[in-house]
Amino acid sequence: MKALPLILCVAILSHAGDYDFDLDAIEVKPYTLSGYLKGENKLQGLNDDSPLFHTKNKDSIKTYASEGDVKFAYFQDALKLDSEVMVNYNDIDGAYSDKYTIAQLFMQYKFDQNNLIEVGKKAPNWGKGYFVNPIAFFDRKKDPNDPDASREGYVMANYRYNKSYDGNIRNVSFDLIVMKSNEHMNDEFSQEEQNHVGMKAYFLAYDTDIDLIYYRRSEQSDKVGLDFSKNIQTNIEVHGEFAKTLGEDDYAYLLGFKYLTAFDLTITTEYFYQKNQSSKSEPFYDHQYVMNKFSQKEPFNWLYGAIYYKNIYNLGDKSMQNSLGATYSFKNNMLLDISYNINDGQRGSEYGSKLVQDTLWTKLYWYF
Amino acid sequence: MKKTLLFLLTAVVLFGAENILEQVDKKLSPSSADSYKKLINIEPDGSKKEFLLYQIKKDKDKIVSLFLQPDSEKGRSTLRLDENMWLYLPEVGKPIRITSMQSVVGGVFNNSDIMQLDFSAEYDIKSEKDEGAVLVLDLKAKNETVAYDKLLMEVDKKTVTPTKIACYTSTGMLIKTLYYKDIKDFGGGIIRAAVIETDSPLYKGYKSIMVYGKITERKVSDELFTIENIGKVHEFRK
Repeated sequence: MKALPLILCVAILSHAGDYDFDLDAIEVKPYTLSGYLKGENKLQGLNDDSPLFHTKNKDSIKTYASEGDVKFAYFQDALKLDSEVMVNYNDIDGAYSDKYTIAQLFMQYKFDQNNLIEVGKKAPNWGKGYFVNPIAFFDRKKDPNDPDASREGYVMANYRYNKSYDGNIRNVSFDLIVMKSNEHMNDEFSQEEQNHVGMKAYFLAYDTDIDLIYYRRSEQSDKVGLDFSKNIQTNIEVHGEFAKTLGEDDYAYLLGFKYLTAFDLTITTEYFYQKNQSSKSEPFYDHQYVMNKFSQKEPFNWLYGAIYYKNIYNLGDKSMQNSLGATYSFKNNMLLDISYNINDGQRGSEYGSKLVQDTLWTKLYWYF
Repeated sequence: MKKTLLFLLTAVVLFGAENILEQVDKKLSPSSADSYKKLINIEPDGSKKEFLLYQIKKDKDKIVSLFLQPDSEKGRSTLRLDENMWLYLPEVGKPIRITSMQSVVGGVFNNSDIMQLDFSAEYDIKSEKDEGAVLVLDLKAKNETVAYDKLLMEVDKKTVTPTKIACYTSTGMLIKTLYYKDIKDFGGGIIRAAVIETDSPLYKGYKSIMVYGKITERKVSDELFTIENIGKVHEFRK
């Protein structure tokens, strides 16, 4: 009988800590600091059909890479300083290299709740597509192997107006971007002496995100773009993008959907078409691709774990890239991502001619 | 007959013409408020993972959340405007549309539990039953976009707050049960359960707890609840 009060005491005490709330943890500071350290290793197999195969030193095909990423923001009244710095140290086949990148560094000034201006290096991140964004006129191209990694921006000034309403149109915002490019500024965007002006109008209308874009360039033809995104059911989202160069037979579009099943499998499918091929050094250079990602959250009740399969298929030459991987988020702010990636296709095709045939890719993140 | 009449009279006296569900909503949170809460996922072996969240809610249809802890989730935010829901990840740098059934944190709580709007905005009362100290409300979702098709809510008559909510699918399958505990005075006339525990037959042995640390009535502009500001919630913290 004495055991019962003891059990009750233990039960109460075991939850006592859970019910406590540390109010110090919610103290508001004038700054935010976050980031991660990442270590990665690639074990690669070579493709002897690749045109680059004979130029490759086969003795060393190991890649180690590490990355440090620090995001810092400081707030004072209407002003905010926002920054992100990345430091990389790589060992690719025994060749060491290091670099640091100021991915973003800009000042924001809020005139009021509706108007603000941002000046400095930033990435606007336009578009709704997961794998590729035809309307991201002011962003760097995404890496299809790591679509979230392209966070480096360009130097620009961005004015924004934002207003909410009642009714079928809930929100309207307007962006004006002004950017200059030459050999010294934004040279990775364009080395030509040129002025760039982008205007974007956003509407949340009838529960649909809609963006309309006009891009004016001083030395080249102007471009227009539009995108949309909508939840057509609680578990199905559809999205699309369209970009066109005015006065030229040049356009590109993307259509996609995201579907969540009752058992937490997320299917992301996108179709991308571009009228004209881009440079072969760029991702998605060919006319048309289909991209699929299947991601199963917490399979077999594996809490904080996920498995995924990704396929990028070039419809023109029928070559493809496959990735099968798993992620696990540990309780100590670490995340492990292990994937097996294999390129497949005929000799001379896009993925069939890649120097690397297959890769076992391990990434370990520690967040702070 | 007498019993039914007596119950109806009691209900009218207790809750007036206002819908009981609207009264429950008012007791749980002022129409515009910000709050801090922590979520704890407890696994069958007793190991735990904690999340700390900051939230701002306005009216019946607007809520935005920001993750403050753990470090691996820091800066993530979610915005809900009616049935539209977006997720912002700092590493992606832009909002993406998500669904209410998805779970941002893993475990038993899903987005709609964490980003709970007013019950009266999402549910109609199908029937109510007097069971002494509690009223049992049978709630039906107003439309198919609501995460749970049916709720059985037990409301404590004294505090007019929920004590237990069972969540069902349209086929009658129990998805989870929420237990409201530890009535606390948060100041400003806000007296409600500080703790919500949940378990689910779909996650046997797992348990999740939500603990409110602070709830404050606050007036904010509608523009806070836009995708323009989803990545800037920290700038609105107080």
